[in-house]
Amino acid sequence: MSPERRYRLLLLSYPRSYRGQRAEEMLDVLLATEERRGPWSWMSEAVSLVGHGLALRLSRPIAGPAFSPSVRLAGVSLLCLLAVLGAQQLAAAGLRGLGLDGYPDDWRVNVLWVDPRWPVHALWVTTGLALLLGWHRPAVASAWAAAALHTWHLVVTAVTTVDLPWPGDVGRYWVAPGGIAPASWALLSVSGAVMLGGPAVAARARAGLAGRRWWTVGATGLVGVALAAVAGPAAYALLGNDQPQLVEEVRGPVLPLVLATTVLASGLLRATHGRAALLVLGVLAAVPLAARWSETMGMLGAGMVVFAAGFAVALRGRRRFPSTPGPL
Amino acid sequence: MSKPLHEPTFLILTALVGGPLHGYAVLAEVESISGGRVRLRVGTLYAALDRLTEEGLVAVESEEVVNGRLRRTYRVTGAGSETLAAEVDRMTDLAKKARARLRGRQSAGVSTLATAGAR
Repeated sequence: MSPERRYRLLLLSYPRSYRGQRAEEMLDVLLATEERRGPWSWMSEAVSLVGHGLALRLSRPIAGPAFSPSVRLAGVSLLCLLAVLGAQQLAAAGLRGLGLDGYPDDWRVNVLWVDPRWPVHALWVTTGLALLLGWHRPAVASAWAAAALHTWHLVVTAVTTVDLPWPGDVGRYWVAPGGIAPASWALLSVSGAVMLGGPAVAARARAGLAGRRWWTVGATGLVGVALAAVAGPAAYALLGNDQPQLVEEVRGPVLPLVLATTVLASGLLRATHGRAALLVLGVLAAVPLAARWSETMGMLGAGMVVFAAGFAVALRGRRRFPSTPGPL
Repeated sequence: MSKPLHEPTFLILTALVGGPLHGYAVLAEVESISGGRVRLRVGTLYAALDRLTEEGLVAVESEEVVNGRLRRTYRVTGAGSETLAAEVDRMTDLAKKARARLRGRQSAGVSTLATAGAR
């Protein structure tokens, strides 16, 4: 590889706009320096170029998609609720592993089946915590990591379930429960990340509700998690094996989510753009709710959400590009 | 009081204060000023030039196309000269204090040796 080509490749670590201004000038200096300092000098130059290029990329403000304030507020709200859900899932897995969930079975660490989506749950919690603390850049990174990982689980599960050709064995630990209901949660994961946008957008969206209100939502969710942890074993002690579905519901995410959503909704109802945000949240929540009812309804709900999103994008496109005047 | 300059920044300003230079000449000048001790990487040079330009300490003097590539020449601004002068004063002051203490220590060492010899 010629030195020029090598340096051009290394300069790709810089943002495109920066390269447009500086690449040719830097290339000139790099080639002259290599001539003076010897052919091996490019290795230390490579470290320096990649380091500075990446630092420049990370320090630039990230522009997220342009959504209306209500959609952005709904995005932050959704991610807060997902954080509560993640906390509940992690707490439930921990309690089950320690044998504290009230079941008489020999479910312990290394024996129980751990939901392979636990890293997604942990990332949801990280996103929620970062949003509460006002750390918008880590929040955006974490939300996108959760969305990517969740999508990966979905793809792996789908591929493994229908036995499609797949490059290499992904291992059973990656396979999450299949079906429309888990897929609908992945849809929410991706929607939350997309609606959150970049750090600056996330900061504006978070300001849609008072900081204290977000903390109240988080705290209420955690109270719900604690209540579910206690109510599960209590319900099992009272009902035994007669109502296993009810016991599962009590110990599941219903209680924390209902409590957190109630507090969130009461705040949104009084906030500017809050009612519209609540409507967006309602449409998104309809997908997993419908999927719990029946697979067909879940598919229908997901289709409607995708259609609504496409319709909204098309409307924005029409508004942005006004029709050209016709021939005179 | 302004923050002390990092050594590469100090050397770049020192190189440019002698007259406008293009990127490669700045690298060569810095190496020469530091007696070959500091060999700036190109990435480091341009990161420093970006920062200095943003702070108004350095400005682009001229642009020309050489061998089909853009070559910019940089110069120190008035603010850049003042910052460099302030840094030189600060370093000179520190060097004086350090030298005075070293002299004091040396003379104390001599007197201690003299006392020990007398015993």
